[in-house]
Amino acid sequence: MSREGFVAAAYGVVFIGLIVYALGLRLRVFAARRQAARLESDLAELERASK
Amino acid sequence: MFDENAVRRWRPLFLGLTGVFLAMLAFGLYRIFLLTPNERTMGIAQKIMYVHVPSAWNAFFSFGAAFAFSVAHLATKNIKWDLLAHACVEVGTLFATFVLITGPLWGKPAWGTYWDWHDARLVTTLILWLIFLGYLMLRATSESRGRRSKLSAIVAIVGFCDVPIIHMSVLWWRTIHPMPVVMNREAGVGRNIDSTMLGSLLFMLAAFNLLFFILVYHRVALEIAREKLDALKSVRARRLEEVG
Repeated sequence: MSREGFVAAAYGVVFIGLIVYALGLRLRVFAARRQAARLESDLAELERASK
Repeated sequence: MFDENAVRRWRPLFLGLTGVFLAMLAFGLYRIFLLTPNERTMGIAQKIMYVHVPSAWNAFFSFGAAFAFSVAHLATKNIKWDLLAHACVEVGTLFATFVLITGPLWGKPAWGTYWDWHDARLVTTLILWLIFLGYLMLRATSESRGRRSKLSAIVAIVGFCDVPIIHMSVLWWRTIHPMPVVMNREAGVGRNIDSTMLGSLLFMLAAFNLLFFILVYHRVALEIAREKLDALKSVRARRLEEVG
């Protein structure tokens, strides 16, 4: 590999890695919030059923 | 920053900081590739320094913060410190991974080899990465919350002890890593490097450090969302038992 290739590989790893991690983080937050919202509505339904 | 409302309140600030980071990154790359000269012997390969060194700095900074939060957690038993330490370790491990990948990619054109097991700095950095990978595995597998927090705080404190060893390794042992370039006592701090190169390096250090705070904010937001989810799951389990 040429020197330019090593530079491109290093910058590529860092920036692609950062993008993947940041997107993954946001997706995990989104998934957790969505699941929490679903559970909240389940709980509200349980409350109504128990009354 | 430890409940949903606080995360929402802080969001505009961190959105703004993300914009600042992206602008800094764009200008930093422009500076590195168009304004900063190539090093005499390594040529363009030396440009790897501008992502390798800031990644290393961020990893050490993250583990230092995790160390401080872990000490605070053990002293106060406050779960907020544990949550922050966990966020810092995850972000720090990401940057340590970058260090371990970009280092060999710089090493091959500069030294003719990707890795040398006799190099103290390489091996101690790998040990650091393994310690904090262990920390993350411990958190993922441990069931009891109190035990998990206590054990992981101890791992973070012990793991951080490797950071000063990494820093001093080039002075204590023979290694293929160069002696400190920026913090060189003999030549004077910052005098052993071209001023444009130093400017670009410091600029990227600042940009990466800003990124650390942004990522930790999002990691804390994730932990808060998960805490809420866990609380709701246990409430639902109790309700289902009551209903029969």
